[in-house]
Amino acid sequence: MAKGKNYLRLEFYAKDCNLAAARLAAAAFSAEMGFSLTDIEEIKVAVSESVSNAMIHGYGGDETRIVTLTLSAFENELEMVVDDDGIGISDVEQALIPAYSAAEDHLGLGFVFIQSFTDALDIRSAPGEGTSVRMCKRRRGE
Amino acid sequence: MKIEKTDRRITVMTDGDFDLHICPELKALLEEDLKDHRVTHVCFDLSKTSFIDSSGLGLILYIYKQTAPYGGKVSVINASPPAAKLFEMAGLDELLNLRRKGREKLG
Repeated sequence: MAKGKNYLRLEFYAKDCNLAAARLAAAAFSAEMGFSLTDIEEIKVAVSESVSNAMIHGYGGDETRIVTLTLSAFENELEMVVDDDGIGISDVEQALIPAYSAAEDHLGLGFVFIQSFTDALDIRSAPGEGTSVRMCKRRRGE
Repeated sequence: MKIEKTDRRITVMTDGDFDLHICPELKALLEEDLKDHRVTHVCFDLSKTSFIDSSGLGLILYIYKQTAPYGGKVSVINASPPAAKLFEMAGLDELLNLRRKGREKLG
Protein backbone atom coordinates (compact mmCIF):
# COMPACT_ATOMS: atom_id res chain seq x y z
CA MET A 1 0.00 0.00 0.00
CA ALA A 2 1.40 3.35 -1.03
CA LYS A 3 2.05 5.89 1.68
CA GLY A 4 3.82 9.16 2.27
CA LYS A 5 4.53 11.84 -0.33
CA ASN A 6 6.24 9.41 -2.65
CA TYR A 7 6.48 5.66 -2.81
CA LEU A 8 8.54 3.13 -4.73
CA ARG A 9 8.58 -0.64 -4.48
CA LEU A 10 11.19 -2.78 -6.17
CA GLU A 11 10.99 -6.56 -6.37
CA PHE A 12 13.96 -8.48 -7.67
CA TYR A 13 15.68 -11.84 -7.70
CA ALA A 14 18.29 -12.35 -4.98
CA LYS A 15 21.07 -12.05 -7.56
CA ASP A 16 24.04 -9.99 -6.46
CA CYS A 17 24.02 -8.15 -9.81
CA ASN A 18 20.75 -6.54 -8.64
CA LEU A 19 22.46 -4.81 -5.70
CA ALA A 20 23.50 -1.92 -7.93
CA ALA A 21 19.92 -1.45 -9.17
CA ALA A 22 18.60 -1.38 -5.58
CA ARG A 23 21.22 1.19 -4.56
CA LEU A 24 20.55 3.35 -7.61
CA ALA A 25 16.80 3.32 -6.96
CA ALA A 26 17.38 4.43 -3.36
CA ALA A 27 19.90 7.09 -4.49
CA ALA A 28 17.55 8.57 -7.08
CA PHE A 29 14.58 8.45 -4.71
CA SER A 30 16.48 10.18 -1.89
CA ALA A 31 18.03 12.75 -4.25
CA GLU A 32 14.53 13.74 -5.30
CA MET A 33 13.71 14.24 -1.61
CA GLY A 34 16.61 16.68 -1.28
CA PHE A 35 19.08 14.60 0.72
CA SER A 36 22.71 15.75 0.61
CA LEU A 37 25.33 13.81 -1.35
CA THR A 38 26.85 12.56 1.91
CA ASP A 39 23.46 11.33 3.09
CA ILE A 40 22.84 9.64 -0.26
CA GLU A 41 26.15 7.77 0.04
CA GLU A 42 25.07 6.57 3.48
CA ILE A 43 21.64 5.55 2.19
CA LYS A 44 23.33 3.50 -0.55
CA VAL A 45 25.45 1.68 2.05
CA ALA A 46 22.42 0.98 4.27
CA VAL A 47 20.44 -0.44 1.34
CA SER A 48 23.41 -2.43 0.06
CA GLU A 49 24.05 -3.98 3.48
CA SER A 50 20.45 -4.94 4.11
CA VAL A 51 19.91 -6.35 0.61
CA SER A 52 23.23 -8.26 0.81
CA ASN A 53 22.13 -9.69 4.15
CA ALA A 54 18.87 -10.90 2.60
CA MET A 55 20.80 -12.58 -0.24
CA ILE A 56 23.58 -14.12 1.88
CA HIS A 57 21.87 -14.91 5.17
CA GLY A 58 18.17 -14.96 4.33
CA TYR A 59 18.39 -17.00 1.16
CA GLY A 60 21.85 -18.56 1.47
CA GLY A 61 22.68 -17.57 -2.10
CA ASP A 62 19.50 -18.97 -3.67
CA GLU A 63 19.12 -16.57 -6.59
CA THR A 64 15.59 -17.67 -7.47
CA ARG A 65 14.11 -16.04 -4.36
CA ILE A 66 12.65 -12.54 -4.20
CA VAL A 67 13.91 -9.53 -2.24
CA THR A 68 11.70 -6.46 -1.92
CA LEU A 69 12.90 -2.90 -1.36
CA THR A 70 10.17 -0.43 -0.43
CA LEU A 71 10.92 3.30 -0.25
CA SER A 72 8.53 5.83 1.24
CA ALA A 73 9.11 9.58 1.35
CA PHE A 74 7.67 11.57 4.23
CA GLU A 75 8.05 15.29 4.93
CA ASN A 76 11.59 15.07 6.29
CA GLU A 77 12.19 11.36 6.45
CA LEU A 78 12.96 8.47 4.15
CA GLU A 79 11.73 5.02 5.12
CA MET A 80 13.48 2.03 3.57
CA VAL A 81 12.21 -1.50 4.09
CA VAL A 82 14.01 -4.60 2.84
CA ASP A 83 12.00 -7.81 3.01
CA ASP A 84 12.87 -11.41 2.33
CA ASP A 85 11.01 -14.62 3.12
CA GLY A 86 14.15 -16.62 3.82
CA ILE A 87 15.39 -18.53 6.88
CA GLY A 88 15.01 -15.61 9.29
CA ILE A 89 17.23 -14.60 12.20
CA SER A 90 16.90 -16.62 15.39
CA ASP A 91 18.53 -13.99 17.60
CA VAL A 92 18.22 -10.45 16.27
CA GLU A 93 20.17 -8.90 19.17
CA GLN A 94 23.06 -11.26 18.52
CA ALA A 95 23.02 -10.34 14.83
CA LEU A 96 23.49 -6.68 15.76
CA ILE A 97 26.75 -7.31 17.61
CA PRO A 98 29.73 -6.06 15.54
CA ALA A 99 31.69 -8.73 13.67
CA TYR A 100 29.17 -11.43 14.51
CA SER A 101 28.24 -13.27 11.35
CA ALA A 102 26.76 -16.65 10.63
CA ALA A 103 28.37 -16.75 7.19
CA GLU A 104 32.07 -17.37 6.66
CA ASP A 105 34.23 -14.52 5.34
CA HIS A 106 31.50 -11.98 5.73
CA LEU A 107 32.65 -9.09 7.84
CA GLY A 108 29.53 -8.94 9.96
CA LEU A 109 29.63 -5.17 10.04
CA GLY A 110 26.59 -4.65 7.88
CA PHE A 111 24.24 -3.83 10.72
CA VAL A 112 26.85 -1.58 12.33
CA PHE A 113 27.01 0.53 9.18
CA ILE A 114 23.21 0.53 8.93
CA GLN A 115 22.88 1.68 12.53
CA SER A 116 25.45 4.43 12.04
CA PHE A 117 23.96 5.72 8.81
CA THR A 118 20.26 5.70 9.70
CA ASP A 119 18.22 7.30 12.48
CA ALA A 120 16.08 4.26 13.24
CA LEU A 121 16.46 0.54 12.64
CA ASP A 122 13.79 -2.03 13.31
CA ILE A 123 14.30 -5.71 12.48
CA ARG A 124 11.44 -8.16 12.52
CA SER A 125 12.36 -11.76 12.04
CA ALA A 126 11.73 -15.28 13.23
CA PRO A 127 13.25 -18.59 12.12
CA GLY A 128 11.58 -19.75 8.91
CA GLU A 129 9.52 -16.61 8.61
CA GLY A 130 11.81 -14.27 6.72
CA THR A 131 13.23 -10.93 7.77
CA SER A 132 11.97 -7.39 7.46
CA VAL A 133 14.52 -4.63 7.99
CA ARG A 134 13.04 -1.15 8.36
CA MET A 135 15.40 1.81 8.28
CA CYS A 136 14.58 5.51 8.56
CA LYS A 137 16.75 8.46 7.71
CA ARG A 138 15.87 12.05 8.49
CA ARG A 139 16.73 14.89 6.17
CA ARG A 140 18.64 17.58 7.99
CA GLY A 141 18.20 21.28 7.31
CA GLU A 142 20.81 23.08 5.24
CA MET B 1 38.51 -4.85 -12.51
CA LYS B 2 42.23 -4.84 -13.22
CA ILE B 3 44.89 -6.90 -11.49
CA GLU B 4 48.54 -6.05 -12.04
CA LYS B 5 51.16 -8.52 -10.93
CA THR B 6 54.86 -8.13 -10.47
CA ASP B 7 57.04 -10.75 -8.82
CA ARG B 8 55.97 -10.13 -5.25
CA ARG B 9 53.33 -7.46 -5.50
CA ILE B 10 49.74 -7.42 -6.70
CA THR B 11 47.76 -4.26 -7.34
CA VAL B 12 43.99 -4.64 -7.56
CA MET B 13 42.01 -1.86 -9.15
CA THR B 14 38.26 -2.32 -8.97
CA ASP B 15 36.27 0.06 -11.10
CA GLY B 16 32.67 0.83 -10.26
CA ASP B 17 31.12 -1.02 -7.37
CA PHE B 18 33.17 -3.12 -4.94
CA ASP B 19 30.32 -5.17 -3.49
CA LEU B 20 29.00 -8.71 -3.18
CA HIS B 21 28.66 -8.90 -6.96
CA ILE B 22 32.41 -8.94 -7.66
CA CYS B 23 33.73 -10.45 -4.42
CA PRO B 24 33.51 -14.20 -5.24
CA GLU B 25 35.37 -13.83 -8.56
CA LEU B 26 37.98 -11.49 -7.12
CA LYS B 27 38.50 -13.74 -4.11
CA ALA B 28 39.08 -16.77 -6.34
CA LEU B 29 41.58 -14.87 -8.50
CA LEU B 30 43.53 -13.59 -5.51
CA GLU B 31 43.55 -16.93 -3.70
CA GLU B 32 45.15 -18.45 -6.80
CA ASP B 33 47.81 -15.72 -6.85
CA LEU B 34 48.52 -16.01 -3.12
CA LYS B 35 48.66 -19.75 -2.73
CA ASP B 36 52.44 -20.14 -3.13
CA HIS B 37 53.11 -17.36 -0.57
CA ARG B 38 55.43 -15.47 -2.93
CA VAL B 39 53.36 -12.30 -2.95
CA THR B 40 54.34 -10.03 -0.07
CA HIS B 41 52.21 -6.98 -0.84
CA VAL B 42 48.62 -6.73 -2.05
CA CYS B 43 47.54 -3.17 -2.81
CA PHE B 44 43.90 -2.26 -3.37
CA ASP B 45 43.72 0.93 -5.43
CA LEU B 46 40.23 2.39 -5.00
CA SER B 47 40.77 5.39 -7.29
CA LYS B 48 38.15 4.07 -9.73
CA THR B 49 35.87 2.53 -7.11
CA SER B 50 32.62 4.46 -6.87
CA PHE B 51 31.09 2.35 -4.10
CA ILE B 52 32.23 -0.09 -1.42
CA ASP B 53 30.38 -1.77 1.43
CA SER B 54 31.11 -4.40 4.08
CA SER B 55 31.37 -7.13 1.43
CA GLY B 56 34.33 -5.29 -0.13
CA LEU B 57 35.87 -4.56 3.27
CA GLY B 58 35.36 -8.19 4.24
CA LEU B 59 37.23 -9.41 1.18
CA ILE B 60 40.16 -7.05 1.81
CA LEU B 61 40.30 -8.20 5.44
CA TYR B 62 40.19 -11.82 4.26
CA ILE B 63 43.21 -11.19 1.99
CA TYR B 64 44.99 -9.56 4.94
CA LYS B 65 44.35 -12.68 7.02
CA GLN B 66 45.75 -14.86 4.23
CA THR B 67 48.98 -12.89 3.80
CA ALA B 68 49.72 -11.75 7.37
CA PRO B 69 50.86 -15.18 8.67
CA TYR B 70 53.82 -15.22 6.27
CA GLY B 71 54.66 -11.54 6.67
CA GLY B 72 52.65 -10.15 3.79
CA LYS B 73 51.26 -6.64 3.72
CA VAL B 74 47.94 -5.30 2.46
CA SER B 75 47.31 -1.67 1.71
CA VAL B 76 44.38 0.40 0.51
CA ILE B 77 45.05 3.57 -1.47
CA ASN B 78 43.02 6.35 -3.07
CA ALA B 79 39.96 5.78 -0.89
CA SER B 80 37.19 8.33 -1.43
CA PRO B 81 35.89 10.11 1.70
CA PRO B 82 32.82 7.81 2.01
CA ALA B 83 35.00 4.72 1.53
CA ALA B 84 37.61 5.96 4.03
CA LYS B 85 34.85 6.54 6.56
CA LEU B 86 33.79 2.88 6.37
CA PHE B 87 37.35 1.64 6.91
CA GLU B 88 37.67 3.94 9.91
CA MET B 89 34.33 2.86 11.37
CA ALA B 90 35.38 -0.77 10.97
CA GLY B 91 38.69 0.02 12.72
CA LEU B 92 40.63 -1.21 9.69
CA ASP B 93 42.30 2.03 8.55
CA GLU B 94 45.61 1.47 10.34
CA LEU B 95 45.68 -2.29 9.83
CA LEU B 96 45.26 -1.83 6.09
CA ASN B 97 47.53 1.22 5.75
CA LEU B 98 44.64 3.28 4.42
CA ARG B 99 45.50 6.29 2.28
CA ARG B 100 42.82 8.64 1.10
CA LYS B 101 42.36 9.99 -2.37
CA GLY B 102 44.12 13.34 -2.82
CA ARG B 103 45.73 13.05 0.61
CA GLU B 104 48.98 14.58 -0.57
CA LYS B 105 47.23 17.69 -1.85
CA LEU B 106 45.43 18.22 1.44
CA GLY B 107 48.64 17.75 3.38
